[in-house]
Amino acid sequence: MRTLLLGLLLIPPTFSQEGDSGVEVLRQAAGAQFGGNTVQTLKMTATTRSGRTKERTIQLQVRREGESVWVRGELLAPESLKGTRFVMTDGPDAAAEVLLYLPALGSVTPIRGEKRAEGFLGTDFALADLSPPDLDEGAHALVSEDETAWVVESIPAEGGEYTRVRATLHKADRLPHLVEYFAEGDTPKKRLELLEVGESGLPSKLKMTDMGAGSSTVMEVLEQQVDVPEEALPLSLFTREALKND
Amino acid sequence: MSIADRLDALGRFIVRGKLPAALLLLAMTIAASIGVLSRVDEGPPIDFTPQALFNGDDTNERALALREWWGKDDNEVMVLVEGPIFTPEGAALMQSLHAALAADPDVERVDSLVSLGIAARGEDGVSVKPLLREGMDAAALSLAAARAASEPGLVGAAVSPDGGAATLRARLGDDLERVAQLSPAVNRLRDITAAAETPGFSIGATGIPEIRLQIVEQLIRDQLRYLPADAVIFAAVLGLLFRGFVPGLLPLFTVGLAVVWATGLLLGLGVTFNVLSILIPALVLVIGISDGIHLLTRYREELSVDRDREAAMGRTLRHLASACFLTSFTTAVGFGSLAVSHSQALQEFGVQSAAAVMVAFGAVVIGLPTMLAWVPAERVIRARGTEAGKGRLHRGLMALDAAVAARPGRALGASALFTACAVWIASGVGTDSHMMELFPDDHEVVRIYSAVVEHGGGVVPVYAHLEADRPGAFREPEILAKIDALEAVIASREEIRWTASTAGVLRGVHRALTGEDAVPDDEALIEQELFVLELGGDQGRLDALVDPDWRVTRILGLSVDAGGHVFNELAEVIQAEGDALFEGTGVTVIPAGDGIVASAGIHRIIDDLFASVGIAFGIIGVTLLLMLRSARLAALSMVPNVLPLIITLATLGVIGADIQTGNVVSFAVALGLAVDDTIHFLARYREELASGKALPEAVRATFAGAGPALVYTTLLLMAGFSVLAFSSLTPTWHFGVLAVSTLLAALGADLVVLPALLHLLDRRSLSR
Repeated sequence: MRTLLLGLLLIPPTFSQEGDSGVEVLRQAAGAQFGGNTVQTLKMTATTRSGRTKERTIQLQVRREGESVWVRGELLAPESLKGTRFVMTDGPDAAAEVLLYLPALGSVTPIRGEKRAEGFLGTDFALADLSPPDLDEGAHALVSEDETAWVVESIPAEGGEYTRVRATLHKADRLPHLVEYFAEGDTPKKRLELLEVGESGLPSKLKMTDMGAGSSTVMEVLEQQVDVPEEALPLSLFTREALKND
Repeated sequence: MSIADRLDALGRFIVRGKLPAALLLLAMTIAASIGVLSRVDEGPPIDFTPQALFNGDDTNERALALREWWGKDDNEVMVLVEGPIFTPEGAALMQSLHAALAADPDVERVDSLVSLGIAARGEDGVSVKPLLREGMDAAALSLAAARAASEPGLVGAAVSPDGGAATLRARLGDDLERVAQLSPAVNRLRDITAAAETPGFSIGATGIPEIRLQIVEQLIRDQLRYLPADAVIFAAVLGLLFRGFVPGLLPLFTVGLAVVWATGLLLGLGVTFNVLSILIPALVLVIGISDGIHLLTRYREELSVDRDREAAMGRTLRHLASACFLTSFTTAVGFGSLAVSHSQALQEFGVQSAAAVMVAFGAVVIGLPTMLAWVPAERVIRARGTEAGKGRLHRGLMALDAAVAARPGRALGASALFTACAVWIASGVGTDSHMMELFPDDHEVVRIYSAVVEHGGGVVPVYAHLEADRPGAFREPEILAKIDALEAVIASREEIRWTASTAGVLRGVHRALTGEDAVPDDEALIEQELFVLELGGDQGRLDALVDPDWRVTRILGLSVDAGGHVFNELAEVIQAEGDALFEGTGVTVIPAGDGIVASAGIHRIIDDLFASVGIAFGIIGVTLLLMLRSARLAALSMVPNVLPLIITLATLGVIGADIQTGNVVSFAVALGLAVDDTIHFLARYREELASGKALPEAVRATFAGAGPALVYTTLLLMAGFSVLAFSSLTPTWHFGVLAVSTLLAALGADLVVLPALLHLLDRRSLSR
């Protein structure tokens, strides 16, 4: 659950000091991404090899209290999915399931999935792709640095989908502008690009390309509110009843 | 200068210039050896795909086209685990085996109880998760066993209904095409399954990659046995026959050269041997030895006249080279006629064998005289056959001639009765093709396959490929309902053990969400239930069933190895039912999958058989007409060559086999070999007639002159081909058994039917 939150909430990092090692660079970037309560509207456009596109617009409301996180999502488009809502929670006492409301059925169903790592909402983003590397596991090295960017290479702990992840972070905005995910060999399996940075300094457009499948997904931040007051995101919003009745 | 004069001159030239001729042989042999070694260095030049053996031309293209959508479905190794799966030991074994297989660098995906997410409704909501997960206790495993038994998405594909067996399907990368590329991956998977052996459980692997590798390994083992075994048999027989080590072994040495030349030529041209064409080196060895014996026998006879090696070799080639060419040519025609077959493997075998036979002819006609030119005349003449043996054979042949000459009608009647019995046996032989027909019943591959079937599973993939004229068509409720209906038709077939479709996946999600066992019939509901899969991250199951645009989909099935006729019937049902269901919807239906593609050619087996035998008969008939310059004699000469074909068919009936793609080759080859004896018999017969003898005396002289050589070469060929009968690959042992029975029938026909026909019907010669 945590990986989902980290990935979807690419809050801009605010570096306090220059990074002088791979771990340090990533730690600062990752540390800066734990923000407060947020409301985001994201448009995800998945494009297949043949050029067919699929769009999903989703509003995510996120509330944080200590280590606990509540996320409520609502599909705004396409029309056939409009009104589909879900709630996920994360934290020490969080439930393992996702509460899902399907308007066509008019009921809320808890969904327990163990395979969410494979892909998120039918796009090229896997949950693992959206999360920064776990700095406590694996190895991270600053492999190159010039006046404008750091290049950090991470070797994840065994058992993951990737054997190597290489991130290029710009010094100007401290954001990862290019992340390449390697499974084997020197050709990346996937490639995440930061296409646009919003006026607020936040990433506003990201593109994930699956090199093997020839498909790609562009994730666009349409709206974003940060540091939303708790009153605007009451815990009652993240309940089964709220899902069904809203 | 006539052809005979040119051949005479060639014989003399070879003996005169034996050193340049020997150097030429050496150079050609070195060049051919380089051709062989350079290919072998790249890995065994042998490959095998079941499709190449069974398929037809258009179906092969269709299968390749559909691979664009679905990848190489047959690049999947299936590991079968037998034992109590839903116990802590069984679950742990499945977990560790799954992890080990998935960790292999050439494995793209592993589907098993450990990975296949199943949507299910429980007290705490809907779960999308695999049945076997880490940390399950006995109670949880017991519940999982009950779930497994009732889960249509799993039973037949991943687990048996009783939980006594489960499979793990490891999909190898599409880039692994040839067996040489597959071999390291398959061997690593074998190591993984061997390392996973657990008391109380049995683990085995099958699947097309495993079968392909096993076949190629067996082909290599067979080659390493056939050629040395044939060489030993021929050396022993030739040594006895000619009672001389050097002259006796020269024909063998010559056909050894022929094997190297033919193999070098084919490999040098980039040929990769298949399960049939791998027999070519052994065929060259066996077939070439016949010409070698005839040449050596004649040379010895000519040499004994004047001890003049140059003149003797000239006369030998003058009299025999044409006959040897004709016999080689007719054999090559027999092989070459397979070029009209619809099977790629048969075509390749036919053309390559024909080329190899003619190379062997050239090697024997040039190579043997060159070698004999170095052997002193006395040494060749001294090497005589066993007089006692020759005497017994001579007496036997003379007795046979006398019996046939005395009552030719009775001889023909007895032959007709014998033929009628053979026809009766042959009438029970049908046509069919099975994937497993390549192996004997006790082979490990067949054992594992049988175990899968016993546990209620299927092995052979079949599917209905559906293409729509618009994206998203297969998310439309009415189209989904039709997919569901067609899946039900396929699932109702006796040979089908498991099916899957987008409709089935949606049915499972809908059942989990609502408890209702139905495919959702509302567009919004369909989208929202698909969203459940997206949310659960369980898109993988859909990826194998539908393209991202939802314009192309398939209904996938796993079948038992039901045979070509059943698969063809299944294809017809899918086509007819599919066309009816999707009429006017913009959806086209194409039956496909290994089972259906591999069986498409079975309709054409009989066509192939008649076409190849007909062409061979036609060409051989014209050749005999030109040779004999007598339509009557040419027509008579074809009659005894029908009997071996009938005997070949009857032999299939005796060994309980069908006419299959793998053995249909035997018929054309049988004709090509059988006619050799006829040519030698008639050539001698005409020679005797030309010397002024009347018909009975000419036939008698032919028995005496050509009879022993026919008997010896037939016995030698039978001995050579009999080695193939010890192969554990069905096409190879069929070929060996059928060749032996055909040769025996051909000899019988040429020593009984042909002289009887001559006595009765060659009236022009008789009157003379």
